[in-house]
Amino acid sequence: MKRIKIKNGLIIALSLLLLFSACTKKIETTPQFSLDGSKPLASLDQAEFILNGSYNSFLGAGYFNSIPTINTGGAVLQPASFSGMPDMMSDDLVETFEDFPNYRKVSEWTYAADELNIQITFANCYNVISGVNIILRDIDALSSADPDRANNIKGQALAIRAMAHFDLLRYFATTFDRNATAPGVSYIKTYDVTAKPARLSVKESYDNIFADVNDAIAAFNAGTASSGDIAKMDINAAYALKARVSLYAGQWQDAVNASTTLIDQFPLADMADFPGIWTDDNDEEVIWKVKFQSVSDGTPYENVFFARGNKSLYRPTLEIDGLYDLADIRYDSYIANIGTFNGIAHTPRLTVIKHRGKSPASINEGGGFVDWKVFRVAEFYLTRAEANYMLGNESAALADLNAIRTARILGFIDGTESGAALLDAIKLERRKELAFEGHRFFDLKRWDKTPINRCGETDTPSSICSLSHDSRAWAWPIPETEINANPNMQQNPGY
Amino acid sequence: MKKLVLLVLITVTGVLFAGAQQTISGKVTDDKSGNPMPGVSISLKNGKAIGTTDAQGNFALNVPSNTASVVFSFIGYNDVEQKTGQGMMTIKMSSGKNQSLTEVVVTGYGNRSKRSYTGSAGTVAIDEIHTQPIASFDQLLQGQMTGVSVKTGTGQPGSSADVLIRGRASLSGGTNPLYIVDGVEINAADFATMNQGDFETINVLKDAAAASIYGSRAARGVVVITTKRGRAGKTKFNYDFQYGQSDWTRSKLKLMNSAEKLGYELEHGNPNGWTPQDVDSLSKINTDWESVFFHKGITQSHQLSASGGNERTKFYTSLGYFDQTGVVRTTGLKRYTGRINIESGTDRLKYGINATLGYSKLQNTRENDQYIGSPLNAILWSLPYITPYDKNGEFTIDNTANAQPNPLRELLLNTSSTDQLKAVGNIFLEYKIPFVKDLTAKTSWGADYTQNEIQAYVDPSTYASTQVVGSTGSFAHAFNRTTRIIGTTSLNFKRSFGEHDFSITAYNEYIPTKARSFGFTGYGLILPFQNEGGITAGTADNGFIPTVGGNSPANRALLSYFAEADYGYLNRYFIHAGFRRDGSSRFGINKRWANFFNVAGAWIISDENFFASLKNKINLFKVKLSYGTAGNDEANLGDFPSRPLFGKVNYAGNPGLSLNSPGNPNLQWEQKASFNFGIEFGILKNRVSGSVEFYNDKTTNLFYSLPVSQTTGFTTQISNAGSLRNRGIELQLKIVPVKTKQFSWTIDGNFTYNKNTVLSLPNGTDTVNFGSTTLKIGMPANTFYLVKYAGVDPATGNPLYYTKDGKGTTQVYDPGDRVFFGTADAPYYGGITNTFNYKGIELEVFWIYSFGNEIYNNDRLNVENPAYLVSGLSKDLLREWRNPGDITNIPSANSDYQLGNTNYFLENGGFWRLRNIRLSYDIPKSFLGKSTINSLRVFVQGQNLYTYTKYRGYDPELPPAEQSVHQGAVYPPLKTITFGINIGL
Repeated sequence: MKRIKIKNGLIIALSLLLLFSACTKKIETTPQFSLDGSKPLASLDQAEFILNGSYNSFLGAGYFNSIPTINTGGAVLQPASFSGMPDMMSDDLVETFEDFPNYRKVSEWTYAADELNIQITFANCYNVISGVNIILRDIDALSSADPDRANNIKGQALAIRAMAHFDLLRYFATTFDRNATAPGVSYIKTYDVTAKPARLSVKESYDNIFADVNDAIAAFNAGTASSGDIAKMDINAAYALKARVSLYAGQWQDAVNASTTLIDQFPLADMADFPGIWTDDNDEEVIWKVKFQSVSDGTPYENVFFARGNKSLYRPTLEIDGLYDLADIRYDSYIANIGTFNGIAHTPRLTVIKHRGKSPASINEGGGFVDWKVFRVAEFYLTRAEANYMLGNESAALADLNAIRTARILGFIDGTESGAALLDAIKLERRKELAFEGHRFFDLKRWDKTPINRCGETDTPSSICSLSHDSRAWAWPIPETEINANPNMQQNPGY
Repeated sequence: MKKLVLLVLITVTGVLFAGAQQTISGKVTDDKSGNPMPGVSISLKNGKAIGTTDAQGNFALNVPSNTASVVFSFIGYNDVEQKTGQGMMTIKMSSGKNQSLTEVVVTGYGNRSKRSYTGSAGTVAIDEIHTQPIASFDQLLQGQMTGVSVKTGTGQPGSSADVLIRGRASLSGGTNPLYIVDGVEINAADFATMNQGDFETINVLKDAAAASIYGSRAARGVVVITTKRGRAGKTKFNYDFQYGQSDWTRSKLKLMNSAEKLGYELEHGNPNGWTPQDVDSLSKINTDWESVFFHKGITQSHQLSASGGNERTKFYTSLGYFDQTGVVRTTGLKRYTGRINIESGTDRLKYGINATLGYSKLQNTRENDQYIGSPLNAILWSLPYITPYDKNGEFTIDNTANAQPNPLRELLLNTSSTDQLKAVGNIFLEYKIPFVKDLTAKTSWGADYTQNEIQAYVDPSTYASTQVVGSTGSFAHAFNRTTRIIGTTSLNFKRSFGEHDFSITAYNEYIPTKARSFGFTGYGLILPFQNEGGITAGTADNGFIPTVGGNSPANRALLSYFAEADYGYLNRYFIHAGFRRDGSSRFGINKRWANFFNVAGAWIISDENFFASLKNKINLFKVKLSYGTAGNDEANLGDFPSRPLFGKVNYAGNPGLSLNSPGNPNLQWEQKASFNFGIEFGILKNRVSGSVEFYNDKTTNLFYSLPVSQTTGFTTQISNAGSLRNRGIELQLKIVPVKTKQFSWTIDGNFTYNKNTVLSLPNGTDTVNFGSTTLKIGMPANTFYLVKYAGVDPATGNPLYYTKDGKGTTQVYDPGDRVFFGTADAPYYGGITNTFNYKGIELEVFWIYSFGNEIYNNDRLNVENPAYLVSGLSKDLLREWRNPGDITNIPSANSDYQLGNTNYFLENGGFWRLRNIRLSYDIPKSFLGKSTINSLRVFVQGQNLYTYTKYRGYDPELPPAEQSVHQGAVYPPLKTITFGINIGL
């Protein structure tokens, strides 16, 4: 009897042992298709991969991309916040009957804090920033392997960080005054998911942007100044950013100096080469561009003219259409009156063709994907002209203005404007030269919130067609989702 | 203490000196065929099983001498109660509505008699499941039982349903229940490739005591399915056939006709520049885009099965074919299935295999989106004065400002299909360990293997082609496979001594899941082949560079140790306890393991002596109580939610890495604690029977996408935060108003009320916005949060909005004025079945109902926003404000249109629907004469023939993917009428 009991016990014990023999190792799994981000970066190569990831975010929903991605839940908005949107919000473009009103509330300035397009933009800019902050966290520890390369990566990361914060400032600040105490942006320098930062003042925001730009230039100077790839920022892109920010901040001499650095290196394109800039046949005048290499990268300007779908969603206003001289070579690269599509008759209408696609696409069949030229030297001729004018150097200002006009208008005879007429001429030329490049709304905002009026040519039944000097809409509202998640975030007045 | 000892002594003596015995013996046969019936269960009247019949249908058993009668039960037959003490018994059983099955609850890890069951579980009427012509079985759960809410808002053949058991218990985590077929976990999405004709029992486990044996995966409820088993005896063959037609329902959303549309365009600036002559000729065209897209669908199915065996080895096999074409042209599902279940062994050792292989080919179209290239959107957005074909029979090109791609071209030329191969099987080995009485070891190993081959062809002439690389068509071909292994090993000790029934089982379970996918898309479909042959080799010049991808959609493992114990006394008092420890690879190294437990009890009051006087009126009165916990590890964020992950991206031809999610190393199990109290009753000889249950479930450590400051680069971070409660009442009632020899009428109804309440949320802030819905403490999840629309200012035509306090109105839209509306999850739902039977002719009428919820009708927004002037528009706009003084609720087309952010498009989601009506006739055996046919049934049935709703669209049910909004591209539900025949040989 006793023996059997022992045997029973043994059998039960053995069975239990078998039953519970599985060990916890069995629930160890590791990701095979992604890199675990909980550890510091291991090499400069990894830093470079993350950097490419940040550049990829420029192709994102709230930066330079306009093509909606389709998922099962419907189309996701792509406001093209720094390519198409500033023009859709200005007097250069007007919405047509052909539009799907996905961006109407933004282009008609009727947004409130729950506007999705604005939230997408806000999040996308900071997404760019979070990537470069991871690089900047680890890059110094990795630099001994190849200091020149490390400094180049660091320079790019700092320049990208400065640019994304500046672009946020362009939409969300109520003023561009260099010393304003009004809220600017939250300046993020460390990657921290739990942070709940407040907004700095406009002045402090500028301080940080300039510090990063200058550090970027210093890093490029200390290492490789340029990777040689026009798709990546280099020391010249950093100078370009410095010139642009200086113009907004009214640091006229800085704007002149930085522009001079660029003008000395980048000539204006020949008239014959000018059209090729827009079809990516050449890189004349281009300091830095964000590359869209196929439809899968997206497209920068298709929420204005969607050539592939034969929809001119926003058309050039007759006002800007009428600004160009018959001898102006820019017109044919910028605007076209398109009647037929794939051989089918269509009511002729004005379209923006500047970003319709890469060569060799025909005028009607633009593929839509084309590089977004972020910095082009022509901008810095006009920047230097405006800054010099503000410094009282009218002759230098006129020289730069004439240089642009001579390069663009056949048989142009140098103008002789002076005083207020010279400033008007600089502003006019800036509008004509940089049309449909994401500048107009910000320039009007910069020029003391010059009221916008396009009421004479509204296509749609909508009666909202003007923006007054004192409208709240000159500054975008901070998204309500951010306000809810971050109690330190301050809303703009009026929202 | 002394008293207890005394009690134990008495019980023990009771065991040792059990009362006198009597012997009963006899034979059980089928009343129609006269064939002997092996394997029939024989039990005492109190439910205690005492034996089964042998291969010749004979039995001889010892029963206590005071036993007055015994009950015979067999799957598919009505129970028979027979008095003892009359010598050799001759039992004739008649086939019926699976009476005996409803008396068993199958938990997947073991069967329990319903009588002794302490948990809350519902059983599905299997007959419905077998005959309703729907490919995906989960859709059929609708209205079948209390506590199970099913959304089936699409008619696309093969679509799965969205099933919620006892309310929405998770916010960011998975909510669909766990499906177990013969012990193997199955994805709901794959039911389209399984044949529900093979299912024998379906039980839905709802409360902690029932479901928590599945611990880690049980928080969402469990649907346990077993497939048919062979039975000893002569081999039986069955052939089932069904054929029918499907039709569509017309949408309640009415659009302008050509004349109205042209008039409206002219009134608003004539964007297309129509001349009076154009208007005249175009007004004569009135294309009915519904008729262009929809046609009659055909459904047919065949199933052949055989079962039989001897006492040692039993088998069941089946072959199935199902073919359904949808009402949208080109869509449909074809399915081929086969199954073999074999069980063999001796009293000591048993082993078996259950295996099924299925193959399906699904052709579908885009649905539930707002893409202009989705053909189903074009039903609303195409112009009534455009025809699908021109005079030459070519596809018309819409060259108006609308430029809507010809939807018929998109539908007919662009094809997409999914070929699914699915194999599910398990093998088991059960061994009664010698030397130790009543100790059984069992091990079961199963696998669920699914592979999908997905092909999508985009024709170069279509609109979709303009959206792809190179704008010259594309061909995509992708493949993925998922393998899930389930290994369960258990040791069970079960012993009855006298009036004590005792059972304890210890388990170990290991479930690894792995999946891989890869695919490519090729471009430049210039050659005339709709496959890889048509792809042009890519160069930098032609741009046709193919995209290639691959991923690991699943890579996880679950390890569990658990035990459960049951004790029953006098077959009247039952208690149950379970404990479980689970580890999941999905969590961080310190947060992997969690413990779950449950306790439950049941008491059959009607068997008490003090109840004896009522016994002839109240046949059954049982109360049960349970409490326990269960877990959820599916945070809907892949298999590595605890880690920050860099994913692959590309920029300018260079590879890059981008941080996809911030991860949360402290992420841990979501936990649900459930309380359940239930009463089961049967009165007037069980002419009225049913149950009432009350439950209170609280989910804590909710998986929650915690909004973070977007300055961090992310909008949310997955976390455990907040809690919510589902509290509800479930009523089930079965009434037999008439029961005579020739005519019977049965009413079977169920009703559920579920109240979902958010109890706490993190961050001290209680309002979080998810577009149109919100989370607010004290309110249900998916509560709509919108500005309240106040109509139109008669003077200006501008929309008016109520201010937050609801007292005043304003013309300026301000999100600060948003207020709370109803919830999108229906709190009230259920089903009612009426069955009439007269001499074998049976009429079954099955209604389902659901009410108390609201739906955001985005389909309407897309035809009511006047900004869409050039595309199809709703008739409602004809009533828009035009002149000062007009009284209307449609604002002027010139106004700032913000109605989409108001409650204007919120609609009542309630409905009642004639889900199924079936007339069948069992042809009597006498009629079949001496033919080899044992049974023959013919039937005709209709599905979704009538729906009552106020919802303005195709269907008040949301598609399974949606929680609150009807996005667009709605595939209407099918109205199907079929004829069927079942033959038994």
